[in-house]
Amino acid sequence: MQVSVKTKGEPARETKAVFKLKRKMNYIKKNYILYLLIAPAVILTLIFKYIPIYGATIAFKDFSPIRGIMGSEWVGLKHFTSFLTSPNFMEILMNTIKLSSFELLIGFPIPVILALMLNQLRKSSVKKNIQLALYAPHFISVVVISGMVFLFLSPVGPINALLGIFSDKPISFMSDPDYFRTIYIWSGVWQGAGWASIVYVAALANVDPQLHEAATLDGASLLQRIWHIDLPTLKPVMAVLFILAAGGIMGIGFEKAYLLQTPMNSPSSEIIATYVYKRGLLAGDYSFATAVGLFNAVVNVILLVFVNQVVKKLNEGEGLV
Amino acid sequence: MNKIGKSVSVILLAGSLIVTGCSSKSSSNNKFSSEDYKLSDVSFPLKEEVSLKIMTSSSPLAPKDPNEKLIFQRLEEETGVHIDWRNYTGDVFNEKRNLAIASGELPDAIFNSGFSDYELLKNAKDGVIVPVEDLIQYMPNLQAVLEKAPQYKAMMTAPDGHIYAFPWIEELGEGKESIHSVDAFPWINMEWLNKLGLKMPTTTEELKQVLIAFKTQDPNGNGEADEIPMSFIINDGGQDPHSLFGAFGLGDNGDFTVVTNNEEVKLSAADESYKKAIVWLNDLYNEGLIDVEAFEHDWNTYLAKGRENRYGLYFTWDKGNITGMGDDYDLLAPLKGPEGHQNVARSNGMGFDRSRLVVTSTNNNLELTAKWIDQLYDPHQSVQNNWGTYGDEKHQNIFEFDKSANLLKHRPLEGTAPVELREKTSVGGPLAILDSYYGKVTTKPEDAAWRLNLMKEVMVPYIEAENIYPRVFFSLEELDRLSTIEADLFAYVKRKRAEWIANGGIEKEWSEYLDELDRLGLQEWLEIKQSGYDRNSK
Repeated sequence: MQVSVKTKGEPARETKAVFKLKRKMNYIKKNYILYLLIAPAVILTLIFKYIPIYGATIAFKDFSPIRGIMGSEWVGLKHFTSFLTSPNFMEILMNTIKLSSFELLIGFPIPVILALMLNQLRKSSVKKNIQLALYAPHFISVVVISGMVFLFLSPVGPINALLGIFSDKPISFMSDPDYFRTIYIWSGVWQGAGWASIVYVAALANVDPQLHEAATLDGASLLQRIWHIDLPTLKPVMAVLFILAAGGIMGIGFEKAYLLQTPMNSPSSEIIATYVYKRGLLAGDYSFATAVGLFNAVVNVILLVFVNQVVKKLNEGEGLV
Repeated sequence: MNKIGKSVSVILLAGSLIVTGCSSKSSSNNKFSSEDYKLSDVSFPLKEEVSLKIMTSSSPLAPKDPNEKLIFQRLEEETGVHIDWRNYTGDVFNEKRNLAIASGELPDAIFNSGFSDYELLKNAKDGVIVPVEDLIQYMPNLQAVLEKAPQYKAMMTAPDGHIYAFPWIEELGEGKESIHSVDAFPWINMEWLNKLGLKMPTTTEELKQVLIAFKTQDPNGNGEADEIPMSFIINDGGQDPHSLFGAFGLGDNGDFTVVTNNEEVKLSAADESYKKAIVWLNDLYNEGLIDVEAFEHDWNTYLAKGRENRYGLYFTWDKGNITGMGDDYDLLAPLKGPEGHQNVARSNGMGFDRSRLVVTSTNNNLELTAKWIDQLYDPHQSVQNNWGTYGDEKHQNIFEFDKSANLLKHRPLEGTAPVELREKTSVGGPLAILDSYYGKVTTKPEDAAWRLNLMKEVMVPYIEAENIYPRVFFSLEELDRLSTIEADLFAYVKRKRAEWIANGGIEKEWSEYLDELDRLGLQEWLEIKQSGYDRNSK
């Protein structure tokens, strides 16, 4: 080692670099157990998240299953242009953004509110039972949920039977694009809010009771205590969960939108994910569908970075990245 | 890790959410298609049994393994070819078929392949399927069919001169009298008409009055207003109310493509008469005469309500499949509209399906496969594959076999819904049934003969159109444009049509709608369709 360094003529820098490297190797050797521990996760991520990226090249090719990914012909941005200039491009993009951002904005605060309310319940048996009732819908499959939504909101279903008291014309909820987002989001809230509140309930359990006692002695009302004690406790958790939720904003659940879709509500229910499914799997237009998926991912990354910046501003410089 | 490193890794992670996951495999030899048996000059039955691997789709009513069907059991015995089926039900078949192609898991052939012309040409271009015109030399039965009915050869042949798939041919009636002329027959409740002492409506206005009577006068006599004066499934082929549109002029059919008597191709949904028909239907809807579920229910719900005899007027191909073959429902003749039109548009359906079986490029036994397929074109075999068989001990039989006359005679259905019985026992696939077979090889199915007769007596006198839009085989470029345009155009037309019937507003939005159709590419679509028509009729 020493000899080779000398002949190269930069003894001081090289030695320093080698020394640094050695120290690092030593460090890794000493802590190899930790590296071993993380290895499965890294390998899984590589296999299932990074290697498939290679398949994304078919977005720039005319994919032919016989010729394979590498053998297919390059066509440049043809599929992107074709998507961006298709007459319904804006509609699909806006539907995706609207549906996911409304879902985030409405769906995010509700579990927090729910957790704050649960936290106020003193009797633990009551609290347990209420929590159980709130969690239950989470375990129903989304297919069943969609079936239930169709039954309840059918023109001859129970909701219309109730509304029938006030008017004689039933509302076709599932075939009116104006109702789609409301139905989608609120059925999602009903299903998921209880489950999502678990993290917050756990965080609230860590609040020092002395803080509440002191505040009560100082004459703080219930709302003031929630505002000044409970919420600041939740803030870091909320920030992280919000960024994570925002990360999935364009990856909005395909199944539910597809299941709740009818030809008549498609002006608001056709989102990028359902479009990709129809063009890619049903019509077999893989290259086009991949191009659309890739476009979706790019929009997603942009949104994620943006949300992260906003959260940093609001959360005293603490974001995810 | 520094900040930039972290950002990059997050971005890469997010990027990996992209929809991907197609893997490529070499397709020369795999376990999804059979090995090369090195057979030549094949004659059946084979001395040693071999097997072919074929993918197929069937109805959910049929057994999961097609080899449980008597027809295939007999065929295996006769030929010595065992088929390893990979079978999916119709609702998931397209998806599974496309996945198998994308991942290179190609079988020897795809039976009931159901490719659209676009998919057919694209898969041919991609090298998934092979041209089959050279195989016809091994196929005496198919040759005989093409000799008797040479027009089908042209319909099978792609613009590039190749034949890529084996077709399904079922002749039932010719020209206007074809069984496909009108798909959505309107069936009216005769029992209710008689009970209320009303006569069969002959104009659109009379029909409205009849439907109002159905709604208000409790024709089923249970004291409740649970009658549904009129029901349909919007935009669902034979269950759609398009056969009533003719009372206002040009009329409408399932694919919105009509040809005038001047041989001009038109989009029915951009015609003035279409607007008037929708206005009329919207009026019926506002009067509460149309099933509120007509815009969202599926076949099963539609059927359930029909079986309870709750409809005053409903639409389907054959009433036997919904309300049974009894006399309580009868066919409503084309109505006279307010401007004196009395017409019904012809559907573009015909008994020809271009792609019923394709041979893949991984098939190593082309001659054997061709000869096996040729068995399906044998007249007696075709008839059974299409409808069902005889001598089955486990199922009701469609036929009885008259050995002396070599004739497959249709047995009476005894109240069974014909579609259900056929789906359970028949196999479909490539076959040919020519008009000349009736009386020699088989008899006309009871329901088809009955429907042909109704068509001739009730519908044909009012059919104005001389032409239908034929099965033009477009080039890949044309199909590419057509399918791109249709994906948006037809979705829009179908949605607006349902919306207008339920909520009205067509008069106000009509010019806006026509502009939108143009924006979605209507003019280019018409141009391609027209040039295809002209090419075909030359």
